Amino acid sequence: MRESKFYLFLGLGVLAFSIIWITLVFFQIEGDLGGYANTPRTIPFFLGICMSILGLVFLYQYKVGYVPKNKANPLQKNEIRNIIFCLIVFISYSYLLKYFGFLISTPIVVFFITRFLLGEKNWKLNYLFPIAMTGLIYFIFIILLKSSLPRGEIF
Amino acid sequence: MENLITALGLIGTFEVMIAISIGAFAGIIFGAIPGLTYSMALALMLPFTFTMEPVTAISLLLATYIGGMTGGSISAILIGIPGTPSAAATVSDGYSLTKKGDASIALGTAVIVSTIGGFISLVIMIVLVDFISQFAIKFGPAEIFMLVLFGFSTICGLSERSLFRGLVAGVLGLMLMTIGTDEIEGISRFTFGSTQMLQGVNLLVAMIGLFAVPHILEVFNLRLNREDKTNFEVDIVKTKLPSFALLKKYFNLMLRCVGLGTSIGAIPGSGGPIAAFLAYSHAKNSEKNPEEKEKYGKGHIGGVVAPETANNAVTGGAMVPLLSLGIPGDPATAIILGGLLIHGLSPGPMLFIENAPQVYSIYLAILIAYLVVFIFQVNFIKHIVKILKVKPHHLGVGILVMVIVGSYAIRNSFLDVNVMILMGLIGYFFNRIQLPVTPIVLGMVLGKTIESEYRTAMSLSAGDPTIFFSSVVSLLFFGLIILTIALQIKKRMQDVKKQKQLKEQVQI
Repeated sequence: MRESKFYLFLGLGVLAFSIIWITLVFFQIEGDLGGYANTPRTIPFFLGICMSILGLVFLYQYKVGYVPKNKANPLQKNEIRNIIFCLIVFISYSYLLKYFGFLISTPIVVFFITRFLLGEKNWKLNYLFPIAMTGLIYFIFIILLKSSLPRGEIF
Repeated sequence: MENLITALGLIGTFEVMIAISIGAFAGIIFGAIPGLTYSMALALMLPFTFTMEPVTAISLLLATYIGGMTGGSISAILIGIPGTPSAAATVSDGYSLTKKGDASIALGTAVIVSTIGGFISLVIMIVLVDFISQFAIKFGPAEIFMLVLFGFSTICGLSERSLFRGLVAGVLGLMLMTIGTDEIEGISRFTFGSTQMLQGVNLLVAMIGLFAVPHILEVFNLRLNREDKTNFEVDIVKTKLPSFALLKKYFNLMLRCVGLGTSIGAIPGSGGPIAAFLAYSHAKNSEKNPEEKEKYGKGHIGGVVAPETANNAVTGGAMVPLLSLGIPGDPATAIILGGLLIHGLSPGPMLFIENAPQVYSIYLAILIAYLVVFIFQVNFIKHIVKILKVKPHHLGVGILVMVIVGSYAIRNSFLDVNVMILMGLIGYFFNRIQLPVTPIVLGMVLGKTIESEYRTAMSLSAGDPTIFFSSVVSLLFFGLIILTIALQIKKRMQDVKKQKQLKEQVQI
C-alpha cells in the first residue's frame, strides 16, 4: 500500500482527459494533420500529446513512491451542497439581469443572499446593504466612470 | 517630446484622474484584505473598462495594480497577516513594530519606500523597455515562438507548486484558447455545433471565474457551515512619515532593493514574493552592526524598508517584458495585457511605433498612480483600515454582484456567465487538489501568440521545423527552456532525496 494515492488519481485523471481531448481533435476539427504539420489540428493535437505525457509522468511519480508536499483536501458532503446553492444563486441572478436589469435585480438578489442564504438577522444588513451596494456600484460605474451596466428586457 | 505633450493631454483629463483614484483605492482595499487579491480586483474591473477611452481604462488598471501591491503591507503591519503574498516578508518586522506601539512609523515607512521604489523602477523600466524593444523588433515568427515558449516554461516552472503541476495548468490554458474559430483558416474547433461557441472562451470571463469565484464559494461555504471567522480587530491608526535622516540612512539599501526587485520582476513567473524575501534576506545579511542585525525579525525598520521597496520595484520590472515583448510575468500583468489588447494596444516592439503617445500615457499613469496611492495611504489610512473589520461573507456578496454583472456585461451573453461559473469551479477544484491556477491564465494569454507564430513560421519554412533552430536568438531561448526544465527537475530530485533521507532517519 503506497503512502499517498494522489499521483495515481492525478495521473489517471490527466491521462483520461488527454485521451478525450485527442479524440475530440479528430471529431471536432475538420481537415487532417497536414504534411507540413501546420493545420488547425496541429497545436490542439500536440497539446493533447503533452497532456498525456504529463499524465504518464504523474503515474511514474506514483510508481516510484513520491509523496506530494501539499496534500489535497477532498470535498465534503456539506461543501458540495453549499456549492450547488451558490451556483443556483449565480444562474438566477444572471437570468434576473437579463429580464429586469441591474437596478432592479441587484437589490432583490443581495437581499435574498444576506437574509436567507447567509442568515443575517440585522435589519440594516438586510434592507440597507442591498440598496447601498446597488447605489454605490451605479454611482461609480455610471456617474463617475461613464461605463455601462446591464439593462433588462422588461425594465 | 511631441509624444510626451500628446500624452499629457490624454492623461490630464477629469475622467483619467477619477479612474486613477478609483483604481488606487480599490487596489489598496483588495491588497489590504487577506484573502482578496489585486488580481481579483483587476479581473473585476476589466469588463467595466470596455466603454472607456483606452488611456482611461489602462490608467484604472495600472492604478489598481499599484494600489494592490502597496496595500498588502497594511494588514501585514497591523494584524500580522499579509494582504498579498508580496507583503509576507514585511510581516515579521512590521507586525513586531505594531506590537511595540510603532505601527504609525512602520506604515509611514512602508508607504514612502514603496513610492520611492516604484518611481526608481519606473525610470529603469522606461530605459529597459526602449532598449529591449529596439532589439526585439528584429525578431521573426520563429524567434517570437521560442521567446513566448520560454516565458511560458518559466511561468509554469516557477509557479507556486511544482513544474509538472504548473505545466498541466499551463497546457490546459493553451487548450482552452484553441476552442472557437481558428483565426488563420476560419475552421471551427471544439464548438459541438454551437454558434455561440465560435467566439471561443473569453479570456476575461475565464479570469473572473478563476480569481473571484473560488473566493466567493470559500467564504459562503464557511458561512453556511457556521465556521466563518470573526472579523479583525484593528485600533485607530495614523500614518507617520519617517524622518529624512532615516531615509538617508537606508537610501543605499533602497537602491539595491530596487535593482533586485526590478530585475526579478522582469523574469516571467517570479514576481513580488521572491523579490521581497530576497531583499529582506539581503538587508539582514548586509547589516554590519551585530546589534542591529540581531534586531531583524523583532521590529527592525530595515525589515520593512527592504521588502516594501523591492516588491514595489517589481511593478516596473514586470512591465518590461509586458510592454517590450508582450509577455506578462504574473496574473496581474496578464490582466493588464488583456486590457491593452481589448483597447487596441498590442504590446511588443510595434507598440512604440504605432502608439507612442499611449505608451507615454502609461508611464505618466504609473507615476500619478504612485502619487495618488501615497496621498491615500498617508491621509486616509484610518478610514481604509476600517474595511478590515468587514466580515468576509459581506464582501463576498459585493464580489458576487461584480462577478455576475461583469461577466454578463462583456457580451450580454449567458454563455459567458456559464463559462465563468465553470472556470470558477475549475479554480476551486484546482485549489483543493493543489494545482496552481495562474498558469491557466498565462496559457490563455499566450496561447494565441504561440499558435499564430508557430503556424506563420511553419508556413514561411514550407513545413521545415529547423526554422526554430536556425538563428542564434532562437537557439538561445531554446537553451533557456531546457535549462529551466532541467533545473526544476534537479530541484525536484533533490527534494525527493531529502524526503527519503528524512524517512530513513525517522525509521532508525
